[in-house]
Amino acid sequence: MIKNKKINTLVFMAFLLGIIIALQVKSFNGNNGLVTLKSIMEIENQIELEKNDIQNLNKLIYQRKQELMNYETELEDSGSILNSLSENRKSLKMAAGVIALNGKGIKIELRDGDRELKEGENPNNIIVHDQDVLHIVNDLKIAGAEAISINGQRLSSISEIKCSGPTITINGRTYGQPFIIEAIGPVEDLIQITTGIGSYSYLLTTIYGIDVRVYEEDDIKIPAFKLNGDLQYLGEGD
Amino acid sequence: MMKIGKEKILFLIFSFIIGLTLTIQLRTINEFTGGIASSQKSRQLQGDLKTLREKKTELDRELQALEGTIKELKNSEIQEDAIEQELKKEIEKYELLSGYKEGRGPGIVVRFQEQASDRDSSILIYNYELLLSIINKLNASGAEGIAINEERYVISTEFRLSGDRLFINGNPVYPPFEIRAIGNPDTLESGLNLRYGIIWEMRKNYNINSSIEKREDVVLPRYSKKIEYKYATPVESGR
Repeated sequence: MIKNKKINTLVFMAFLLGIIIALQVKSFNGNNGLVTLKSIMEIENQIELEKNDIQNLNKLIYQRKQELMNYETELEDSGSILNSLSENRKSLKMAAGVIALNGKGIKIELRDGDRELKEGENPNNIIVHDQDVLHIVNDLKIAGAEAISINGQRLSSISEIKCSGPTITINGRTYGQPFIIEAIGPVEDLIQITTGIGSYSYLLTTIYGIDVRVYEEDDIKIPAFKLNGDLQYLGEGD
Repeated sequence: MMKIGKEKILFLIFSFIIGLTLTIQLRTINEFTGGIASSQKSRQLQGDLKTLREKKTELDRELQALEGTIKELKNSEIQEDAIEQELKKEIEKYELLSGYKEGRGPGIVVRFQEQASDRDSSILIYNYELLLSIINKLNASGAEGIAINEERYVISTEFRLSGDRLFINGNPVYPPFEIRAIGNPDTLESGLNLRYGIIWEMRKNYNINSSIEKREDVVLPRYSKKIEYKYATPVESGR
């Protein structure tokens, strides 16, 4: 009797285990009850992007309504929309960077390092590269720089920075050292991001020995970006 | 006594092995999938996503209607005289250059495929200066407009790494990355494909493969924020 009972229990347990394993295996089959966290994360990312888009669309719609209202008021008042249109053109020119600006900001001077090379050291280490300039420019934008120029050339969205050893080329113009980056924006933040310990330019100075000097300036003039002729390829979308 | 003891011990050992195997099995599955969660949440999120997308389409339509009205107004009010035509032309030009208008034209599309495991985000997020470098090269080849995924590259565009996410124009951007540029397709392509250039460097040092596709029709999204100036003031008033 006792032995029989034991066997019964064992059979029952084995049966249970079998069912559990079967359930477990079945549930790994994706569409059935469980999904991976990764796919959830992907959906969440997409949701965030859509939310961002919607927010931006709402802002745009608001702006357009204002614009339309401006036109309509002017049309009623004076019978033409010329004034609003030239206002519109001016703000567009500001956004494209084709208007000269001034304001408070900082000036950065970059020179190749003048220290002696250590034995076997790559001379590239103490030379300023376009990557370095790109990185500094990006840092300045993060800190809120509103306008940036390099050796007197305004950086626009289509400006290139070519830099190899002794010269730098911006907007098709070539300049010698020192490379001078000027930026208008919140001075404290700009100084912090260019001189703070751990910042990229701090790294350039301390590790690579590149000569980086930062000055606070009360009046920085940033010239307008000059677009040569018209846009040839870029046309209007829908 | 002895016999029962032996059976019990065997049973114990087998249970132990089964337990261990099950745990290992579960663990491996976790490794591969990055954990699992109930599909109910996923379904709910998918529902949210759908609602959001519908709302977006609706807003898109509203915006387009508004812009249509503005355009009509402009067209009907702008006279045929030279000054006003010039004004209109300039507005259109700077709308495109500033990135406020959706852009369209011939150009190239650059896609990046990373070898890294798909689970961890991407090498490019942590080395975003590679993307900056590519954009710089495209500009050097005469690009007239550039976008990274759905973000237009405008004058104030910054790349910012925050935690393990990359923000462009203040919006999060997720891999896989794609850079689209409008300009002369041949020039743009050769600017990147140059021997020992950036594409080569990315393949060699970071194991990132890039594909460049020349296209007759590349579309760039518009920049949907406002470029504002709080510290800078215009020197000369525009004409």
